[in-house]
Amino acid sequence: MTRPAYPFTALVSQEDMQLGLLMAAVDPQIGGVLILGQRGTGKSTAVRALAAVLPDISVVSGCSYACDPQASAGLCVGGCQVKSKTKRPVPVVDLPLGASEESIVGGLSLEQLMVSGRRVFEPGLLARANRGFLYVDEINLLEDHLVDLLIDVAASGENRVERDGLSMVHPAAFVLVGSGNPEEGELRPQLLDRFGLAVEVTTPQVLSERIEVVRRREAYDRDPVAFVASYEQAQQALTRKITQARRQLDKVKVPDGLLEKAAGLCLSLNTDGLRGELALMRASRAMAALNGARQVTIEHLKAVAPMVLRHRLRRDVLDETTGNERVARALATLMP
Amino acid sequence: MTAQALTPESLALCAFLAQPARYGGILIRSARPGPVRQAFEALLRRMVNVSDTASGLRLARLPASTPSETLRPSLDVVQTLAAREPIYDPGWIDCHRDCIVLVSMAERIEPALAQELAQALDQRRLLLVLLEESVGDEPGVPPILFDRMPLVVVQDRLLPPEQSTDEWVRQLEQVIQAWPVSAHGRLELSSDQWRRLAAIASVLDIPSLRPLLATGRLAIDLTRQASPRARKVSDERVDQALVAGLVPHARRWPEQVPDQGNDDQQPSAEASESDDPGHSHDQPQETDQSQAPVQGALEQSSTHHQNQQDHHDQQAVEAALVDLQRGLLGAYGMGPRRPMRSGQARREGGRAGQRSWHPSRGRRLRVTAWKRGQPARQLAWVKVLERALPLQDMRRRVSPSEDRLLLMPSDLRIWRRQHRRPLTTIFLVDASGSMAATRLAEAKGAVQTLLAECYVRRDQVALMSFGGQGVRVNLPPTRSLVAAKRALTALPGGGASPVAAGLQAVIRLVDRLAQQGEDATIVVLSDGRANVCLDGEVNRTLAGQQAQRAARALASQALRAIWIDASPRPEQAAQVLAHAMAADYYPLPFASASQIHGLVSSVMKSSTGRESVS
Repeated sequence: MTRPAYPFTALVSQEDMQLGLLMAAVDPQIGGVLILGQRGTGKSTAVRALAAVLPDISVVSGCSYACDPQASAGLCVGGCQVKSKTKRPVPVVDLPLGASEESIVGGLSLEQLMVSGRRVFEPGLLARANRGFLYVDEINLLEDHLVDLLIDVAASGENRVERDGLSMVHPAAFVLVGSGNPEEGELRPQLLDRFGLAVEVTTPQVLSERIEVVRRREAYDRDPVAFVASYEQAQQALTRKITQARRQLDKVKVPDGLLEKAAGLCLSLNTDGLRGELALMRASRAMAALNGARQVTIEHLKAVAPMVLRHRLRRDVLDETTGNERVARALATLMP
Repeated sequence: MTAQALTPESLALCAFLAQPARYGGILIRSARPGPVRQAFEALLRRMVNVSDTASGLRLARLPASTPSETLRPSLDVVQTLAAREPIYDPGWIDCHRDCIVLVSMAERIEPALAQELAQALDQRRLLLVLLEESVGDEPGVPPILFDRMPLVVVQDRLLPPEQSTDEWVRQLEQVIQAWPVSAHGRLELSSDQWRRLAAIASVLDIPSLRPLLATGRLAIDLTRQASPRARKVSDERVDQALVAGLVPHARRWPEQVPDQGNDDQQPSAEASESDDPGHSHDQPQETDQSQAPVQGALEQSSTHHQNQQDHHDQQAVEAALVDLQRGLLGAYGMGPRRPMRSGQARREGGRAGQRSWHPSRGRRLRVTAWKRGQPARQLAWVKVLERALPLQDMRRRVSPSEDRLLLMPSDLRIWRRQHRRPLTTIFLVDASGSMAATRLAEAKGAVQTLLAECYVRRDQVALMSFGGQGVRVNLPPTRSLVAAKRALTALPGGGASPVAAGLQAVIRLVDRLAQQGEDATIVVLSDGRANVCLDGEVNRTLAGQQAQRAARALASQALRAIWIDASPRPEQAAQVLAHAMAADYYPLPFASASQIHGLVSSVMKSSTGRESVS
């Protein structure tokens, strides 16, 4: 009696979060998405709803790493010699807080070891998340060494296992999505800027929007199947939009003037390193692709700048202004 | 009708017991063992037995200390070894699908377990009854579960004092049996009712929308229960539904709170008002005052959306505010007291819950023999093979027909792990006398700088102060800079100096942290001149003696402690107390935030031996 997930398109006034997730779906290179906000604002709902709008991926049948049949062979340790392929939904894997390192990176297969005495690698959560999303709810409560591990793998796109006498590499290219409530614990600053995007979710300030959220949820709870069916068209349209955007992504042009503006913005905000500029460009391009534009414009840049930069600013503890405000101020002075 | 005598809390309980699946869960707070809880548990068992045939519900108990990995499917090592073929344990949740899961001492649930339960709740794989036994400002159930509890009731308010437990149970059973359990599709809240609920949620500063949803649902059910033929949801039922649905989640209360006990947990805008709150709430002047922050917030938002909708919103919020201030909810025997505790105590995120003994956390350290019951996932397989392989020849002679690896439970080895105990730095600030304002300001700055640094190491900071109004917990232990900033916006000072009471409050906090497996460092900012006794009497000599006794008690805890004397000249009283407390004494005339921070962090770095091994 599993219920169909709440439709992504039925979310109310969470545009930032939706946009962030969609951009990461269009261009996984953007890096992970960090969702910060209070409880009950639809963070988990949005992530769990994501799988339904993403176009299916084609994989080598039976491969535990969901290898792409088109990809050059050799990476997969599962031995994907079989070239028959199947379609399957994009994996959105939940990483529970209580997960041990072994269950994340994988380890010796207990089953094989005990039954046949053979030493066989058993893939972990990272393998399951390959070519999809890995979702960590309450990432601010996850143990530090596990967060380090996730970020490492997410950045390199492959999981290197050196344990229990096993030594191997398998593909693990996923978009890391973390969510958390900053009031319940802070995330280490050196981890913050490893996320490509950081979006802030708040409860809608307008009462009627709040009521709309509750109404839709009530309708969904009453009859999930009918509710999901009523959003079928919107869902399919969104899926088409994502497919289109992915196809267009490489063709979207970035004018030189815009690159300069992006660099100027990062400079004026004093962000550390070059990650900011890179992410800003990638995000603007994904934004343009989602909008069906051929070329990145200043509007795209402005739209994505807060979520790309707000978590990369040097923090002054005693400064009351939020990251969003500072980015907005810098934007206003640089690009009136 | 006898049903009218039931409190709104009891009605909410009936609503849950009549249709558990419609709600998903209920939290009972202050559920101390006693006749009421016993009666409730017995009732729950009976209800489940009755509905056994109809809905297939069962009752299961889950100990709050269950490790979260037992909830998921895993390989059953012992069975697999015995049966010689893989045997899987489907995990606790799968074994208890569609059960009503009863968790007592729910405040002890670890974050990892809480997350598993929350997810199972979201997927409707189980129903949850949480019994929270914490009292006072002790942490309650983890926030991830609290937010998902559609109904929250306090045990003491379930039955009126004059009613006997037996009579109450009989009444509950009658009501539940007569509960209309047909389709609920027809009845809906009107737009105005929804707007009113949303406005109340906004006044009570509840960002989550889950409580709103639950309240609407409960209002519908209560209406149907009261009059099965009703065409519309009655306003009276909406008010009743608020009691268990929305109000427990409140994080701010618009009224002035005449109760001392709430001061420490009430850092928001009201704190800036200083006049005596004991009088009636009908005075228009007072209404205006406490309305100001809410109106301000609304005006801000309305600059963005200048439309009529906003005007409606504002009206609704104002009406809700006036309702709450007029004690609308007081009619149901419900003041701001409970909600303030629940909302705020939860704010700091409960505990990190990182126990030093946890078998699956921390870094691997060394290998020891496996004992029954330890998680199989943690087995050190290479070491197991190293032990088992040399013995294969011998074992094969005993059972020659086997051609596989022969493992015995005695071969099994498990990883021990190293885990750092979380550390809480407790600031105790003297908020008495003329220096109070500056001292507090500097302590506040030091707390924030320390927090900014602390989250590198996952440590917590707490701030307490003592002065004219006794001891206040200005900032409960937190690792969140956001929470600290919010709590520290207003720090009043002045008045007498109850040093002993302050130290005693620290001892209580240290005890609580120790129960959670956490360490503490104490930073006292005071000149040590006590003038108020524990019972509030002004008597320098006795106050000094009491302070020394408290200091010695603190010394017996063997904690790292620093005493910063910020008076212009080193004060003898402070030196004596610091000595009694076994604290390092630092005279720092006109100490600044950066000085304090530098001192504390250097002392913390020098303290060693905080790594613990499991």
